[in-house]
Amino acid sequence: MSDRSTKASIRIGDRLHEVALSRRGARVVASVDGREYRLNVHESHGGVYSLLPLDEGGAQVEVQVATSRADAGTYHVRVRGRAFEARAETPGSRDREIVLRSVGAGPRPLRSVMPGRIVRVLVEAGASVKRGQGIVVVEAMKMENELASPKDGIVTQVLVSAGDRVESGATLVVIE
Amino acid sequence: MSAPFRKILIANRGEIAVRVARACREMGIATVAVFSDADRDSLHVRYADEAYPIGPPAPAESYLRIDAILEVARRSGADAIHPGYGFLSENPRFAAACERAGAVFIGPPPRAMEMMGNKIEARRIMKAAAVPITPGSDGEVTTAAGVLAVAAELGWPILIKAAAGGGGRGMRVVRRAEDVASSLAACRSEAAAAFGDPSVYIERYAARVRHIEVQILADAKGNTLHLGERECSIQRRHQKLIEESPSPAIDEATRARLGEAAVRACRAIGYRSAGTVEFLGDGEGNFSFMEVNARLQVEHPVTEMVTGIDLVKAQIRIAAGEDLPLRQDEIRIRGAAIECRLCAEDPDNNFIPSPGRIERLRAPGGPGVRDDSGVYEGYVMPPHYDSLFAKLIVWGETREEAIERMRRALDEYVVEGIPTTLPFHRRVMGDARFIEGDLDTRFIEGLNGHSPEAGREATDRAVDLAAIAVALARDSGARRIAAETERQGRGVASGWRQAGRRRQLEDRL
Repeated sequence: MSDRSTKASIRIGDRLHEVALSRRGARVVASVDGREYRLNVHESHGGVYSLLPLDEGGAQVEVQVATSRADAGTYHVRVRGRAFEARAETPGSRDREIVLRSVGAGPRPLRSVMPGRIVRVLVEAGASVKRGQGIVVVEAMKMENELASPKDGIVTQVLVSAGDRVESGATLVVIE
Repeated sequence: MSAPFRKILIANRGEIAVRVARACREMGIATVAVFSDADRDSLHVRYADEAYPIGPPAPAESYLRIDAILEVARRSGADAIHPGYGFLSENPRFAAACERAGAVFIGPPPRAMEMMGNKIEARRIMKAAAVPITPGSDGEVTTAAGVLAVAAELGWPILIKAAAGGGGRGMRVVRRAEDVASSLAACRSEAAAAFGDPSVYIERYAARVRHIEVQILADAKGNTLHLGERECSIQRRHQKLIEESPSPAIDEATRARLGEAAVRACRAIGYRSAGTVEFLGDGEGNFSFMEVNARLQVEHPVTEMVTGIDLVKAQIRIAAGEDLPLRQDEIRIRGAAIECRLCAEDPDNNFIPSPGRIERLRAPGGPGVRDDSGVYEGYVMPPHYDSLFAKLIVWGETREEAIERMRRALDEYVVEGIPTTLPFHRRVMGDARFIEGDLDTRFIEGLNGHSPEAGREATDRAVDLAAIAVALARDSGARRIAAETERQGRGVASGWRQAGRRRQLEDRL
């Protein structure tokens, strides 16, 4: 079995951590911002790791990693009773974030954050709306949820009407 | 002991259908499941001896269809029907129709449900039975002038409530005289639309109240026992999230007083089976009647844990005509039990519902831990039904031990793929007010913080290990894609994946 090395920048909270891994089978040498960990790693099934830090006596730590449904680059991590949200940063991703923040103009879709049924559409095409204003009411799991406009603007398209079933991520209304 | 019934139809779904099926199996009674088109792969179907489709996903077209359910009872030869909670459980027409069809309804007599179904009528009956009721109007109020007259006596704010409402729906708080006319009109039209009855009445409104309820068991001879109380003050949208028994706010004398009031309430309506009498507490030891829940409650396990009585089996035996085998002085409350409701909701996003696929599931175990679940790994929760998918219940010799045990069990509980209320429960179990037992129905508003943590110190081993695990997961993911690409020859899979990923990125821009 050959050695395998990778590097990654992982953001947890407001701190960015530089991680370097070198793995050979179950043996992993990892460095986080220069702090070195020698580990025995066992992955029981996708994303569930049992780590034995070899320099800490018989210590054992279980870590669970799950990718976020909403955002491919975001991970939910649990270490014992603590929960973290982590983002893997790639060289392009920081630039992209900056671009994302600056894009206030242009059409923005309002998407359903859940599968469900449209109860009411509160606006018509051509209406001018404020950021945070209720646009569509979606019912899921016996609850009605008002989805709000992501920006100030004009409603250019209304793609659903009351009674429609929608999937998670479906575009409901476009606001420009 | 011989089985009281041969075969029971369970007219419900999810965790409660599984719970009832477990009791039946232990009693040697065959079970019949019914399922909608959205529930063919649900756990309650797999735990049943027979299973029959009853219609499309919408509850009105399946789980609420009396004719379809009774047709299954006839075809399967079920001699009794357990309604669970929700759906048809408190529908007197269903209870009566079961009896007419020759199947025993496992629940109270239809007449008792009818008497409690109208809240104005319920208040009148309770007052006559010397059960303390919340100060309010003597009957229906139809005019703004009528509301103002009641408000002048009670003081502001007041609550306008639909006579036919329930489950936290059909009520409105009014804080000043100017809003009375519009609130009354809105409440009446909402009540007419939601319940088919526009009648409303007035109650005094208190912002900070404790929600305490008493579990009752009554047999056909009228023997009626109280099994202690449950504290259910931790709620969102007027729906409970955490329950415990006993309540940390109730002493032995109050427990006896409430229990006796609850027994009087049930006797006044000729109640039979398991039932619950709900009270509101004002924090100064005063309790007033709110309503009778004429069914098994979601939170019944906490009572089972502290009394040792299986409420579902008791319901079944009572329905078969057996007498209660216990007297009131044989009921003992031992230790403390807590229940956390696991719902597919995002607690960091206003408890927005989050149905979807459960990618990973590992339930806790060990001493004093009970997991009443309706799901399994790989199950896709449909959007048509309640978000509750499991209940985690623990028992401890003391409330302190129960809290410590709940913390441990919550840490063991793994649900990935959908947001759940698990992080919320972990927060509550560490909250000083909860630990003190300082609870009221607005507890959640005072709960601060959200779950994802930032590193606490500059070098935090847990943060480092989290970062390492993410790097490992990314590395494994990259290797899997590479292997797949190789296997598929020309890299078709990877091409699709990249296209998919590119689309995601474009969508985000």
